[in-house]
Amino acid sequence: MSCSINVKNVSYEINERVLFQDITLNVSHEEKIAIVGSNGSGKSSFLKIVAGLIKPKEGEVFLFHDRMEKLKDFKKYRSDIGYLPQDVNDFFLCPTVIEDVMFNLRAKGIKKDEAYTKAFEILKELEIEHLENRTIYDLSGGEQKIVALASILITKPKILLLDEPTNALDEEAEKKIVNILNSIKKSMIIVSHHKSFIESLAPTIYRLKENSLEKIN
Amino acid sequence: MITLSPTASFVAAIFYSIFISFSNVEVLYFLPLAYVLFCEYKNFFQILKRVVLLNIFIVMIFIVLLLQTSLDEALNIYLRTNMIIAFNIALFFRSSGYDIVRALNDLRFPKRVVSSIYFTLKMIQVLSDELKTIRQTLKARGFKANSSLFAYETYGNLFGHIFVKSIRKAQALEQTFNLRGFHGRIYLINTIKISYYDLILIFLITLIYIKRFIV
Repeated sequence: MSCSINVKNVSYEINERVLFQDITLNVSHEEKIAIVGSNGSGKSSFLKIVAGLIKPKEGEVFLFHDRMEKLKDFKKYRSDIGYLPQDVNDFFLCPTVIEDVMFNLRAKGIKKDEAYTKAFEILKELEIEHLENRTIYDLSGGEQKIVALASILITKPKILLLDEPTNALDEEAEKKIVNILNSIKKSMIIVSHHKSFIESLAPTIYRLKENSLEKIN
Repeated sequence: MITLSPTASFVAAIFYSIFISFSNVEVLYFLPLAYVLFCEYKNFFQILKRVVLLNIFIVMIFIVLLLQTSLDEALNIYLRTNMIIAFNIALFFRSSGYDIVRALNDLRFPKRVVSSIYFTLKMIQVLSDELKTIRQTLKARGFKANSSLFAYETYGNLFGHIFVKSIRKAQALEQTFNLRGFHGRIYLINTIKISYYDLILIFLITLIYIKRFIV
């Protein structure tokens, strides 16, 4: 099976503190993997490196066998990468739900009506069409996460990078997100603390511990 | 309660404020103010509370003016200041702030201006939420405000905390711009509809201009 993501011997440090060293990871087409690890182990930084938001100290990242030498190189794969940050408040660019979900399509030059139809379809798919005209910042944490997912999924990305998607959510909201993510057939890297959540979603789990990545199942 | 559109409110706020700033008080000029207060009649006392609170500062200006000029002049300026403040508070009392962004977009302001104002408001909201959390934390941890060195150190730390937080938020926003293909504009759906109530407001503003410059 062809690989969507190849990470080779990547190292990263913050303020001379080594977070991880020599990490190699391959994610195949439609494969779902999870990364667990203690606080401050560098899970989120690793995800940001794969998303092309920060540069590793050493090592190489390949997306669809294309080497990403500089952060600029990620530009052509932007719509293929769906990155959900830990704090979704940082993710939103528009005041209402429908406007934010439409944003990526409109930024690509798609006409308003067409973008609206597609955005509404995805809201319906995720069963949040009743939130259409709500102000994002008035929504609950769980609702915000699902809206952010809708904003990501609308561009039909090939890779999903999810940083703590169920962080601070109640059981019901977590269940909903699990169902949504289980129904998506895409390459996925999920970073989370929730063991039950991870196990219900990703067949392959890695642990980031003592600067290195080890497979735990 | 009557809801006025943000676009009409924004236009009315600008024209009324400019007009009152450069005119002497006349009874007719109270008409638009009375109208917006009527539209917000359920929140009348809350609006009044805010105006009274702001009057602490306005009274200071009044006293200074009284000492420098005549009572008539000081009273005139005092009334005009209150009219402008009350009018604007009543107009935007129920606004979340984002309505103004929508109004600017509706009035065909440059897209970069609209998005800059939107992100400024977003940042203000984030920081004010942060400030609220900090205040609650201080309460919960038994902090008492006094003039001790410890209290000043705590304030300094909190200021630093908010400063760092705002830088981090700005960095996160920049990353989102990169991720989501932002290129200088946000896309808003035009949902603002002008109602008869908006037209009445615009009519009243026009009326005071006609009274001043034509009649």
